Amino acid sequence: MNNMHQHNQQRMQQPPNFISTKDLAYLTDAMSWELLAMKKCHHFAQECNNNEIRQAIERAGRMHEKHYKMLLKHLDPSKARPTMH
Amino acid sequence: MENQQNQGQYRKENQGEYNWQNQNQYGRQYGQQQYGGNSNQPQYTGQYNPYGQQQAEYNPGQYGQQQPQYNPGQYGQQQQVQYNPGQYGQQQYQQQQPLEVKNPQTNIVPQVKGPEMNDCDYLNDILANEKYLTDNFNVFTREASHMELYNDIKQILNETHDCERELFNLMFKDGFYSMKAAPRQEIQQAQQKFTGYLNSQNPYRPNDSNNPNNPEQEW
Repeated sequence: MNNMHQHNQQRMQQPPNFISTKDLAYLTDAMSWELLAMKKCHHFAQECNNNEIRQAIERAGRMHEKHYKMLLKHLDPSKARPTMH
Repeated sequence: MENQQNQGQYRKENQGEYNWQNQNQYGRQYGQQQYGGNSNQPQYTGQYNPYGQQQAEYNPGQYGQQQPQYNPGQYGQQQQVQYNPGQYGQQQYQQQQPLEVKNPQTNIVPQVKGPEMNDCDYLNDILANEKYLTDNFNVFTREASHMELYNDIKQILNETHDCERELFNLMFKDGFYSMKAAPRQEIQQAQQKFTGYLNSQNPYRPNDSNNPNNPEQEW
């Protein structure tokens, strides 16, 4: 019966918006990488004597912060189930 | 006299392959400079040692306390682009010595290096971290489930690559990286070989009467 129902629905052309178990694992991993990178950049930038190097490392740190927030947006509990279009 | 002997031996050892030039940053930095290799081994000073005090071969000018040996026209007074192997300037050596593309060292890194980390070390460590991130985000891009996630991860991957490149350029500018120009003859040989493959092995070769899948047209 369930199978019949699925048959009648339209076929998915690509994965719908949802977070797979694999996505979740990667997202949490990636955010740990970004957080560590952020901390590292911030710490190293403070230690640097050369202005240009300090600024470059500081920019890298800001980039990691931005990426962290991008990743965090995907951790949306409402995406636990696929939303069909 | 002793120097000359060393150089002579050095020249002999390094005909053909030049492995000694392929040492990584740390190999040079810690292996030869810091732990005192080069004070007794004059063959490693000068253009071979990124931390050396002597002349650099490629000098775009703005770092210029040091005398350029290789000076491309737009940066300098010399109109003629010439390669001058400097202290090794014997004629026979001139042809074997590959051109090194490198900036002279700036004074960012202290001349006497101790166990504490310096700016170059910090930069290097951040660079290594970005490399690690791009490796991992590449896998994440490939494995992402839906399109929106895929696009975001791909953007992060791209921006991390750009950041890495920026840090690399900064290190190059400060003279921490050097590259060797590939010998013209080897480039030419490779060019001929792979042009040949295009004629003999290309399955998409146009006007190939032996291949029924190819339309008879040029593109």
